Order: sequence, then structure tokens, then C-alpha cells
Amino acid sequence: MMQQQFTSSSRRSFFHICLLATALGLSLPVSVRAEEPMSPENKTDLLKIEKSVQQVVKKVMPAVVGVQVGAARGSGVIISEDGYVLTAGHVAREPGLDVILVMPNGKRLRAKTLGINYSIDSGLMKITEEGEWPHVDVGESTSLKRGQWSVAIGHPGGFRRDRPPVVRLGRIIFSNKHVIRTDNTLVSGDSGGPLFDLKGNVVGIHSRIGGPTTANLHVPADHYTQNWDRLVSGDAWGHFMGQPGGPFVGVGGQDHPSGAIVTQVLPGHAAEKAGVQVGDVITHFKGKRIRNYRSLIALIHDESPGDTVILKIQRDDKKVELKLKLGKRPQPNS
Amino acid sequence: MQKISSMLFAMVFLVSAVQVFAQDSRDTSLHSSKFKSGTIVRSAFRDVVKPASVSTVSVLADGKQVALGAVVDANGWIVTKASELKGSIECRLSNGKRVNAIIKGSDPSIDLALLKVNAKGLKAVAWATEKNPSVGKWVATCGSEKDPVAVGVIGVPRRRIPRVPPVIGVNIQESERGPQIAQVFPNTGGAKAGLRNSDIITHAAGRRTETRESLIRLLGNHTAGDTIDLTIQRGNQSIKKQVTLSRRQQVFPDNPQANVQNRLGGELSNRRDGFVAVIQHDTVLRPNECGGPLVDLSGKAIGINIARAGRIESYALPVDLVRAAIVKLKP
Repeated sequence: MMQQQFTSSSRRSFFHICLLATALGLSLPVSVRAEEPMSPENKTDLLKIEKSVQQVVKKVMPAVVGVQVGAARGSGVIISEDGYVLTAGHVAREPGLDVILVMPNGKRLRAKTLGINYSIDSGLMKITEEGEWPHVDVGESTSLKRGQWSVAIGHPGGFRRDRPPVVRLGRIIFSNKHVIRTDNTLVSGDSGGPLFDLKGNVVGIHSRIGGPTTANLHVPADHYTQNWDRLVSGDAWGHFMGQPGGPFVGVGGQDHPSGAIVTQVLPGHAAEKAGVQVGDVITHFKGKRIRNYRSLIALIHDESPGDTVILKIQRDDKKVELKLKLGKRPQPNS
Repeated sequence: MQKISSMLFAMVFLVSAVQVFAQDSRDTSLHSSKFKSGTIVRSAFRDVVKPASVSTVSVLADGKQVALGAVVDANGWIVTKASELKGSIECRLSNGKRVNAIIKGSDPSIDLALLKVNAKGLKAVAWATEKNPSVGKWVATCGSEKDPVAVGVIGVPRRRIPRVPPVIGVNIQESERGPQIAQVFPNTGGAKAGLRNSDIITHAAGRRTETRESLIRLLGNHTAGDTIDLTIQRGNQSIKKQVTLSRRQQVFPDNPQANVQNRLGGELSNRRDGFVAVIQHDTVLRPNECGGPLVDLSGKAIGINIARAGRIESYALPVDLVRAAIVKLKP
């Protein structure tokens, strides 16, 4: 259903609105960082921030691009002289597509989409024309501290001839290995655009938004670095959580002191076929300990339809192991 | 139909996910007082905004704040956002005193009005000289408190915002007696004014409208958020109505998703397009916080906030436009 929304709403600008639970790393350990940069206290502090922001803007602006994939509009950033471009997974859509990039001066370049991780919403593209391209460095998103200042740039509403890429300032509100949240405001069309630290390194890629203006989510840059070879090779993996076609078990459940208790088994789906029963407490999924219902859902979404996993279950006072072959999430109305 | 229902689905998902997210990350998230426009960061601007805040007023229409305003002359001259002024207008001065205000003139091309209040010895706002302040500069929106209402940075160099012809919010068909309403869309200016099916629009903004074509041409001279007079023929009656024009995008959206997203996080100004020049900044403002001074770190006004235009953008009129308008409007 959501994917239909993507295509149908892609006539102009394009931004994945949904906050996806796996991407948020809801149930996964959060790396807490003790030190938090000081907040500005006076004009002198503010001037210092302003100076850094203006230096960053000057340095990185030439590398920020508008992205057109078919009728969809998003943003991106060039990160190498030979023209690799980071963007969001939902902007790139699938490997091997023709892309038009628009430089800040309006110059258009041809590019192709490469690899995509749908779960985390990362995507890679490569300029296919000869040239040496203005580019920026990719920073380390693991070292981000909450409270650190960040500069978001992109093409809200899509590239517009009469407007250069738009700059927004904010702070890192929350960051772990799955997602960065800032109060750098984003909107449709910003997707795929870069988030910079005050050194001018890319630390995130704009992905999705929530209701408040302080809920702006970015893909951590480390995801691109750590999966670089896979992205370059044009592999596509993962899935938008909750999308038809994604991994599906077919249970409803609740938190339980020992894991997740099954309250519903959908007939005809994977769980029923594997022999899961209402009242079972799932304690382990593929060898990983389940702490609550959400952690089970998150683990399911790390798999693909067709994968087989072992479930460890507490059934009354017996321990049971079941082999479960993941199915595909059906269309909502079917 | 598919599009709309799938969007609703997304929104529901979104809301629940946000709640979960907020709960899980409460302990590890930055405290909201330290957000870019949180109380702690805004208090760093206290000395910067001190002089301009004294020159800032709240503008009330029928007792409710509809805008902020900037004192531009010690003898009680104040500029504000024109299209928000409906009903009886008062200003709450920085000393807390409420005074009646008279609209002395307005420039519809930039949505700026000049008010006169009966007060002496006010402090006029100090203007910056820069006509195109650079991207990345801090900006603070002054209010009546000691800290600014909100802060942000300049996001785009000065540019023109083209005007999109507005709509009444009705479908009109040609009839022998003139343009006739065939459908009234809900939540539009037309619906709020009480227009009905079969009404014939005979006059708009004081001009005779003989055909659908002439009505549309006439609307093209206006901007969404403008209020115009309509005369309609309903049966044998001739009725006068005031209609606030709606944005075309709102009634006939060509990108519903972008529309929804732009409204995520707060209401937008009714009048938010059609400006000769604006400075775009990322300050999150409410529509009724427009109309007052926007200062940089020098504490001088680089412009007057004129519209909350989208989730990521607010617009300010640059100082030269404001000053030229004051000269033109002041008797």
C-alpha cells in the first residue's frame, strides 16, 4: 500500500513520511553519550556558531544536488571526485535506474542508481558522465553527540530554478546506529539530501519526518561507509517496514516478562504453518533473545520472505523449538 | 481514492510511531529546552533582542492576537501584516498598555499595513542596512518578552515569491445570467462565506462579472488570503458577501502529500505567496507571530516577518521594501 503511495505521489516531490519502527531501532540498545556540547549562552557563542555554519555552507553547497528519478524528486550529495552520490533508498527506488542530477547552478548531469538498503532507507548513485565533480567528505555518525549543531541542505519541494539548495540549522536530538533525529526541519523533496556537522562532513542523509517540526529523521552516514561495497555493487536489500511483500509471520502479541506472548495467530500464514499457538511465549528468534513484542517485530524485519528461522517458545511449562519459514506481508485488503 | 486512503494509512502509522519513538528515546534525547529554538538557546539572544523587543507590539483583532508589529516612528506608527487585520484593531505595546489602532494604509503587493496608535514617545525599531543578508546568519523574531519568540537562520538569499492566482473554492459553470456556482468545496473561503449551489456571482471586488472568464481574470489580480466583496444573485435576492480567497493548492492539490507535509508541525499563514522579495529563514513561527521585526546578531532589524510559508520556511520582507512602503503609506 505504501509503495503505491510512493509511485502515485511521486509526480512532483517525494518524501517518505512514515516513521518506521525498525529504522528507529526501537528495541535495540542505544549508545548513550555522556558529553553534550554546551548550549550557547550569549552573543559571542552565537557568533562562533554562525561563523562555522557560514563556512560549512560555502564549502559544501556546490556538492548538493537535486535528484530526478522518473517523475520523483529528491535530493543528494556528491561524495567523490568520480561522482558517487548519496541519497535516500526511497528516492533511488531500485538499482539501475536512469537519474538526472541538478547541480546548484542548474547544470544537469546523467547518473544511475546503484545499491539500496530499503530497511534503513539508504541509496547510492553514480554520475555516468566524464568529469571531476565537487564533493564533500563523509564523517563518522557514531561519534555524533546529542546537542551537536547540524546543517541540513536539500531541495524542499524539489529543485527550483529560482532557488539554490535551502539551508537549515538544528541540533542532534537523538542518534544511534539506525537513525539520527534533529530539529533541522525537513519536508517533501529534501529526501536524500545531506546533514552536515560543523566541520562540513556528511553525517546523515534526510529520510523521513514526524508530526512536530522537531521530528526530522536522517540515515546515519556510517551505514553508507559500512555497506559501501554492497551499495557500489548495485545490491538491493531490506524492505520498507509494514509494506506488502515484506517479511511476514502472521502473529499478534504483547510484551511478556520472558519475551513476547502470542495473542493471535493469523490463519494461513507462516506462524500457523510452523505450529505457533495462542498463548506461546516467544523467547528467542533466530538465536536472539526477545525482550518484548517490539523487539520481535524488529528482528522479523531484519529477515527476508522465504528465510527460515528457529523460534524458541515457552508453552505452558515446556520449551518448544519451531522452524518457521517467513512469508510475505499481504496487501492490506486481501 | 486510492491515493487519499493510502495517505491516511500513512498518517495513522506515523502518529503511533512518533509516540513510541518519543517514549523510547526520552532519556537519551536532547532536552527540548536545548533545541535550536528551545528556552535555553533563545535566552542566549536576550541582549541581542533587547532594543528591538521594546519596538515590538502585539496586534489584536477583536481582542485576539493576529500578528506582531514593529514601531517605525515614535509618534505611534506601526507596521504589521495586512491580511490578518479584520474587525477592531488594537495594539498591546511593550509596556503592556493596550491602545486602539487605525489602519492608515496598506500595500497589498507585499501584504504590509501601516497602523497609527494614539501614543507618543515610543521607540522606533533600528533598521539594518543590509538588503540581502547572507545564508547561515542567525535571525531572531522579537516578541514582547525578554527572550525572542523563536530563532533560526537565513536559508535562502533574497528572492521573489511568485503569486499563484487564488480561488473562491467553487466550481463555476456558465449560465445565461452569468457565472453560476455548480459546487461549493468544503473548508474554503467560498464555503465559509455561505455561498451555495446555483448562486450567480454578479460582482466581485466592485467589478461586474458577466462571464466565468471575467471572474477568473479578476481573481488573478488577488492573492490567497485577500478578502474581497462578492455580490450574488440568489433567486430574486441580491446578496453581498465577503470571501477570503483560498489557495489553489488547497482546493485543487496537484501534490496532496506535499500539502500534508507542509502543514505537519503547525498552521501556515493564509497569505504566503506573491511577494516582490523575501528573505527565507528556517524559524518555526505561528501565523500570528508574523508582522514584527526580525533581527540579526547586531540587534538591528533586517526585515519584517511576513508569512509562515511551510514546514521549513518563514518569509521576511527585506528592510528596503519595508522602508519604501512606509514612505509611500505615511500621509
